[in-house]
Amino acid sequence: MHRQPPKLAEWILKFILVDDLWYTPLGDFEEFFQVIVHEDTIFKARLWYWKQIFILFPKKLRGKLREGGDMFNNYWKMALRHFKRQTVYAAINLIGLIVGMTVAILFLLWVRDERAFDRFHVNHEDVYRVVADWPKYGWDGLENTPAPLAEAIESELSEVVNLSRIWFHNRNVFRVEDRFFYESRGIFVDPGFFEMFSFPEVEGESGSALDGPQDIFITASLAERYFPNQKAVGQVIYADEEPLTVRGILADPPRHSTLQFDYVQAFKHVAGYSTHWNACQFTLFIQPSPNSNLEEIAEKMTAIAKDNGSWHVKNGLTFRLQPILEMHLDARSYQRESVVLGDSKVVMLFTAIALFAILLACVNFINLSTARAMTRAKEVGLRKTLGARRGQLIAQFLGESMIYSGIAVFVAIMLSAILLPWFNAFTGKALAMEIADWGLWRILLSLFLASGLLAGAYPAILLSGFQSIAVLKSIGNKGSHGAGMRQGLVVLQFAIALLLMISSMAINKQIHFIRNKDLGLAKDHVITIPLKGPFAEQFESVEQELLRNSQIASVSGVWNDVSRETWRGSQNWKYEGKTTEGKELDIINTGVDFDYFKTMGITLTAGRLFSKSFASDSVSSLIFNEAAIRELQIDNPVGKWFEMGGKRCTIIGIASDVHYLSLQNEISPRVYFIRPMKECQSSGQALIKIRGENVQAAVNHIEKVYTDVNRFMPFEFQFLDQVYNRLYHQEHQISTLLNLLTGLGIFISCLGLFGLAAFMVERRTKEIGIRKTLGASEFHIWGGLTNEFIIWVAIANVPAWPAAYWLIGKALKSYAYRIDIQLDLFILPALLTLFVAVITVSVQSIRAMRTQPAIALRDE
Amino acid sequence: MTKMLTRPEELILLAIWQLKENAYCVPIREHISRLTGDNWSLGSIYMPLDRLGKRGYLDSYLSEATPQRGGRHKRIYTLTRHGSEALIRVRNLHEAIWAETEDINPESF
Repeated sequence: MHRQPPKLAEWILKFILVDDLWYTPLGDFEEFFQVIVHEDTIFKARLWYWKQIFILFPKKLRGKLREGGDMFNNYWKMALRHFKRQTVYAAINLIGLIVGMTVAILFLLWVRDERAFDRFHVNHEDVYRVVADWPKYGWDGLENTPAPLAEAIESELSEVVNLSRIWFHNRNVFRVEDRFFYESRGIFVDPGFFEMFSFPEVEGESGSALDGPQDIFITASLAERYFPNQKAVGQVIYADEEPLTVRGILADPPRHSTLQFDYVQAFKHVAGYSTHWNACQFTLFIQPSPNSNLEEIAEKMTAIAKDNGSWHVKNGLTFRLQPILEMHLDARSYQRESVVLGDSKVVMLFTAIALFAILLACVNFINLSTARAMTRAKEVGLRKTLGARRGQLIAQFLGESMIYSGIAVFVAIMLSAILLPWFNAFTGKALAMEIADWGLWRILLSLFLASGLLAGAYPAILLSGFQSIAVLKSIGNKGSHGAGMRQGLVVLQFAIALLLMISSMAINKQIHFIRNKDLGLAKDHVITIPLKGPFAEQFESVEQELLRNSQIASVSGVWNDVSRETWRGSQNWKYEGKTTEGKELDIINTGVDFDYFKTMGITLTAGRLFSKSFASDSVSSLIFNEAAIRELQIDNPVGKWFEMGGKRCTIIGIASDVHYLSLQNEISPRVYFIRPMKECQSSGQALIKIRGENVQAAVNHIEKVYTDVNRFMPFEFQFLDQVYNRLYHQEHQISTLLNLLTGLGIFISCLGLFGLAAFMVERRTKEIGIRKTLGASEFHIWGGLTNEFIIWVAIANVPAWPAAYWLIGKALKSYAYRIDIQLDLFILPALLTLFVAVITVSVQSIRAMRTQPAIALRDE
Repeated sequence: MTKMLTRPEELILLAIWQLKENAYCVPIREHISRLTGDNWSLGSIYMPLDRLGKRGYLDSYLSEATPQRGGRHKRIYTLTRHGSEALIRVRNLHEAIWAETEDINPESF
């Protein structure tokens, strides 16, 4: 049998043997490779083939060095001499490159980590999530599908090989013997789940065992927690006194899995799931057979739902297939405890930052090397006269920039390794730099090559292009080589710095605006506790118990976390005098306890609050918010009837609008009604307003009341203001990073400016000396030197402003409530960069104007 | 004085003479390995071949490409007049030395 030698080794050998036109030795190697395969193992043959590289390469190298070794040594010596003679310039170049590369390494590591999600699934290219678009209501890729869709696909679409619905179970209490555990990361899946996703079973029966209502799979870490040092398979866990048998142990989902769960049960046993086509509440994953037409499948799914009378589809909803690799970075999905999400916009932002950092540093390198071209011009001239070809000169100068870039990468690796723990803590990642990480080496290698080439290419071409006669006879204006390019690059550099500065100022301002915006509720001193178990069941008596403490002002509850969107009912509403016939309206339903408005500090603009003295309040009284009244266009709404869920209710009041969600969202129409808290165990929250005089005493009292009724479930609580601060956690992170990067960007740019100014002052020492002897004032000289640079920095505003305006506009667009883009956002950074630039250049120009003319003119 | 052939060089030249149209690196190695009973590496053939070529004892031409070689040509070596003279010289030397030597019997040591 004919076996191929290793492709990579063959490629390298080809490179080594390039002198042999016909590659006959390569043929010999391949033939002998076959001999070894025949007589021995394929492994030995491969080993032998690879060995040839190590035998041949040193010989090749020795041969090359014999030809070009002296030249190479000379280049190396020249590079070192230049470095020693011009320490300041070399240091500026190096510091800039090191800072830029450190930033780039850290951010690229972050980006790589975000993009690595879900690739561990063997089928990651073949599995899709079914998402829904519904432009009319702003749905853009929401992961909601009706439950019967899965069954319909299974029976009607033969292209779909596997599928699985997922239902997220986020509140559950398990009992193992006499120990209780509170779990929030459970999923209910169809059998196809294990076919599509690579969550391997480490112990137990095969995947199909997850079938009966009492079967459960748990992860290895959960097994270790529940049954330490025991065999977990076959053990019994009680959920609500319902016994569940552990059928298998799954490996913990890897860190790079979007789906994070602790236990798995069969989907068909989700308690009373809605089989109605109008209830869109499940996540659906499908795996079509290879090479099938995805759009066609999506169209067929939409058609199936339509045929089955789905109200949503009839009104314009369509399904689409989203590759699972896009899932993690799709920030539009719901945040759940068992789903880890990122944001593709942030990934783009961070990639851009990494590139900017490198670009800024390279600009310094280009500017300083071309500015100093004259010092190298004689060398170039001489080399050319002695017969150096242009290619050789380019190689020499590129080699020098590669040396710089190599040193910078080396230092940057150490710096980023030192900074990594801090960066991890700040971004909440677990990034690591490991020797055996090939991806990391690839990043480093490409950074090294990219910055070496980017920085060195233009100077190399410019310097090697000098005419030997011209430079040796000193014809032409010294130092004017590439001056236009240099000015352009300074403008580019400061434009980037300005762009960073303007954007970070805008973000800071927006965050300040968010912080100080009146949300319409008094979020201070409100404690929220998840309603679970007996704490929910006995909530009425718990309320009485809590109120006994004088530190507690009022107690209430709501049926879900108010900072998250709850289910909404879009339909045609009927109410006194009108219907919304023809335009379905989205109204968020909020089931609350009595005293809700008092506890949350929400004011009514008309009517009255819910009260226990009206028996009808707990069944048929409604309070709308102002947005709902506006949308419904009801005049004098208080006292009018409104039909909801087929029941005729009465509007008793109007609450002011509240920003429950982050300010990215508009305030939606909302209706409040009374709902007993004991029915809200799945996601309800107790809300407790405390007086705030003695917070610790109040919390202690609450904990005591809680543990009295709920001995086995951990007491968790949050302050509502913390919950709201966390909504803007990401904005905070990004703004802090951006502030830091703006600082670094300005630092690198000013380093370059400093170097350029130093060079220019040096070049004009004699001119300044003559000017001074002729009586020029110090201010005049300072002005003359500083002017030139300041103009470039000022010009940088021209491209920076529109770019920043566009960028900020885009970023702020995602906020329904946002700051206006005003002129001060632009003027302040412009003044600040000018100020910093003037100071940087002045350091040099003041030195120049202080120099005694006698010293400056002494030579010659 | 021209340099005397070493034993590996002699073996290689003889192998080339015997293999005729098939005298390229891989069969040469095989041939010598079989004769000596040792496993010669490809490198130990290349180096002398290179040297002999430079001294003008060998000529070479490209022959057909086969699939086992990944479609690459064979380099077939042939003896030159110089090469054959060198071979004859060592042969004469061998014969002269052995003729003047008493019989060696390993048993007697």
